Amino acid sequence: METDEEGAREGKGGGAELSISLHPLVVINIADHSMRKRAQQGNVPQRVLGILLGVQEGRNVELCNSFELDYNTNGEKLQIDMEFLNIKQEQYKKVFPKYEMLGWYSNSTQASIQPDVFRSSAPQIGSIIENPLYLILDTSEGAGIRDLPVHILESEVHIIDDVPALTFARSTYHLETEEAERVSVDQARTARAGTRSSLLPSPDHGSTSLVHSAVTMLQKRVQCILSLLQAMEKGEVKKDHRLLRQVASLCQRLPATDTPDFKEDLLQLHNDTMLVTYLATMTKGTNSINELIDKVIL
Amino acid sequence: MAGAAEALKRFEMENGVSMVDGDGIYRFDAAEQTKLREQKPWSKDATYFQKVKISALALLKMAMHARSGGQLEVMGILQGKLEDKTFVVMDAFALPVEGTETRVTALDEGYEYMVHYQTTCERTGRVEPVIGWYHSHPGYGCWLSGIDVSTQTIHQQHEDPYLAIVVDPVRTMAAGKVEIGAFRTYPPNYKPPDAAASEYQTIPLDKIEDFGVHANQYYPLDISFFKSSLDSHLLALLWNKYWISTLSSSSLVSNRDYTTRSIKDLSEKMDQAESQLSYSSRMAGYYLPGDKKSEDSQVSKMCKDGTKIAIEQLQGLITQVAKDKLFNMRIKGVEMTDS
Repeated sequence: METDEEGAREGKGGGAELSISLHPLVVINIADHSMRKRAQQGNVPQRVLGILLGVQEGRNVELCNSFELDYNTNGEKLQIDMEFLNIKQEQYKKVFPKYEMLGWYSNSTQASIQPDVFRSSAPQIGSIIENPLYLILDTSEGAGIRDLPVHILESEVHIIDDVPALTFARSTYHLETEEAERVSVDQARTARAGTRSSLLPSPDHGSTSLVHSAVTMLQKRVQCILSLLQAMEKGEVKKDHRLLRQVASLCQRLPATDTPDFKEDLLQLHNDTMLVTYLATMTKGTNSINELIDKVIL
Repeated sequence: MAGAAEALKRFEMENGVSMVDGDGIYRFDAAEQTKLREQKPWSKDATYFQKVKISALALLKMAMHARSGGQLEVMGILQGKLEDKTFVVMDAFALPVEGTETRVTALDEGYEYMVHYQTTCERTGRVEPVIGWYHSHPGYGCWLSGIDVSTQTIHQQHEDPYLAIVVDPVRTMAAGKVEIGAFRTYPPNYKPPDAAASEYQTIPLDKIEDFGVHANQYYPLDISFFKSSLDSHLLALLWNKYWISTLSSSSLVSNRDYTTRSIKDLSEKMDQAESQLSYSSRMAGYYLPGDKKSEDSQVSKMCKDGTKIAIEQLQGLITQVAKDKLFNMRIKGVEMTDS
């Protein structure tokens, strides 16, 4: 983190902050890019560079996809193959017409932005993308114990001594997900082997197991708070009043939704589902009767 | 500590564990691949390929692309390598083609794009060749239609080894797991050993004819997923943030449209079955044995469809009830005060 200052020196310029949302595909794509480069170069970590694609509306930025870049190291300087970039960009434009180039990414082995790479690549990217974002993924082992080892920097142009210079400020981001992505991520995470072109949803799979892992996660966190509280009660940990107030306000928020409207809706949902189940059972019954009749006729 | 490291080293030496531990699958051995391609063991055995391994990246890319297509079918290309009886799908990319079920030439249109893309890929370390294609069947299950079968057959004749993958984004959401199928067709003059009693799956009425006709011309492959150590680390971290959205969404609400359509479809099937049943019962005296079998399966098929919808609904409801219990519990008599 210390070395950040080098590049993000001018941090926090004027203007409202961008609201950046990041899709998991981008993260996995970068990880895969660096992983395969590494595997092909005999397990030596390689620097990878690429372009971020996404949609921007006003101050809202959504990073949806990414593609890889080719580059040469010319001594100290890092030269991005711009022709290659243009070809790739046209290819992606054909498939995802609404995505624009919004910035570039690279990987790093420490949680730093490595000024050398940054300085040599920033002007090249800056020449084609206005105010690009810069995403760094820490691909070293064990990086980021709790949070994703991802850093996003926002660029601004400042005129310093009559020379325009790009400066970067650290931005915050949040993960954007869709149902389909969640399901895929969970499936890839648990590497649940898909059955042979699976057909009937077996009762112990699918959404119930998703909920199970989510509730387990919730339980872990609640457990964490609880053990802290217990330790405080016993006096093992010094009482932190700010923390305690936060816990209290969390508790106050329960029950979350307890309005009559909600209850009615839930009941409605119940009834709908029961109706469907009832119909399915009727169909089952019809099936049995049908089989029975067939047997009797024979 | 030093002793442990020493022991580990010896263990690795003895067992031939490479340094990339488990990530070795990410290496690409061109010579070995060429050798395998020259031997062509699949040309002798029609069902040579039995397994498919899909990387987390390819899975995510396919799922996202299929999802972005909405109700339109989209398609793309698979890149990867071969192992013993196995396709290893490393990556996938999208083609600028939509609506593959209606046109035979869909893949040809994307061909130029594909070649172009492939050549640019090699420069970024994606050296694996094309090993197949994928497309989506939004809402009607993973199987190959007549057009898919002919496309796949042509490719298997000229570009073998070639693999077909079908994903269903709509059912993925409804079922809470990725609905995906991998298939290979039989050679034109090959007769499958027994008219492969393929597992039953729900297919909408307007597609059922297409399915039935071609169902015996291809066979499914076993699918498994793999990921690199870095991927699994990142995925675990992603999940750390994700579980909240899992709890805050409801599959019952987001899939309402799909559920309604499946129920409507089921009722249409029922109407059809009813008219056929009453017709055949009049003729029962004449050809019972032949008819009986298909009749039987029709009603039992409906039964399975119904059960499937009900299971999906119930799963959604269980989620809702669990959330209700978790977050809306009122503890009577206990006032929440400062802890």
